[in-house]
Amino acid sequence: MILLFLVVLIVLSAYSVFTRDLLHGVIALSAVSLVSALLFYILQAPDVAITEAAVGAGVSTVVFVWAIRSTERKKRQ
Amino acid sequence: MTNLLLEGMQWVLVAFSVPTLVRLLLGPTAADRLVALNILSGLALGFLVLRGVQEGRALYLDVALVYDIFGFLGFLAIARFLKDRMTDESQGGEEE
Amino acid sequence: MMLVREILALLFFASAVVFGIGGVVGLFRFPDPYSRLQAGSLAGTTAVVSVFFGALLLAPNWAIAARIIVIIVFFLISAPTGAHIVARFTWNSGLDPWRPPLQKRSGPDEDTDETERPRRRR
Repeated sequence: MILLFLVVLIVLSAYSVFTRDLLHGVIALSAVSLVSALLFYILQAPDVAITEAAVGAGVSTVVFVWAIRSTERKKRQ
Repeated sequence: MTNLLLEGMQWVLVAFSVPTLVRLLLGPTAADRLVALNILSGLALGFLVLRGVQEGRALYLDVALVYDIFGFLGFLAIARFLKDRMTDESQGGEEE
Repeated sequence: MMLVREILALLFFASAVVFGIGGVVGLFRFPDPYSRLQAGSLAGTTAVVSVFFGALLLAPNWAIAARIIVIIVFFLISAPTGAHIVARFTWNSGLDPWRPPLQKRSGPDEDTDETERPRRRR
């Protein structure tokens, strides 16, 4: 179970790095924080999982989206 | 017997989350990715609750509740941002 | 021996598996984000709520059962709203729902792509 989550974590992080569209990266990042919260949960660390869930899924996604929103999309010439 | 039931159900939920992840990675339009993200957080919540009942400690279920609330907030942020991007994507195609 | 609670929980989990399989298969077979959304929320909401009810039956003590009830209530609020928001934003962005191409029985076999269908006024 833990190995599967680790593999999924690697795949998601690689995807969020190599994707061209910023927003798909942010969506992948929120999935990464979801899987890492699950991992902490499985490794018998509920309080760390609470923090990771609160920060990862909630706050950091909002901050990323906020940052992307202020950038302009390059007009396709 | 209950332990077997809970354990098996956790594996089933993990089995469901793999195709959802594939849909999230492949999804052509942004709407598919959001749909996949919505399902993924639901499945993760189910997994958390099952694991919490199996461990038997009440603190484990607080993780699930916190995750549900903040997952919904993050989802709203992404969806709201996507609203503007989608509208200018489709308008961009027609008017520009 | 099998308690009544375990049998009921097994029933809930079995229905969760059925909904989950239906939803996930639908997620891949439907051609259009809207229909995928329907299949997806089927898997993501219905299956998970039945898992919650099964877990509620198996809860060892009252502290856990109360928390599961709170989670069920909040999940029933947040998941369908999320699905509705996605549908609303894709609809506002002008994505037309998928329609099967027109099959013309008589007349020469001209192309029957979407253009013949009147696009809805923006």
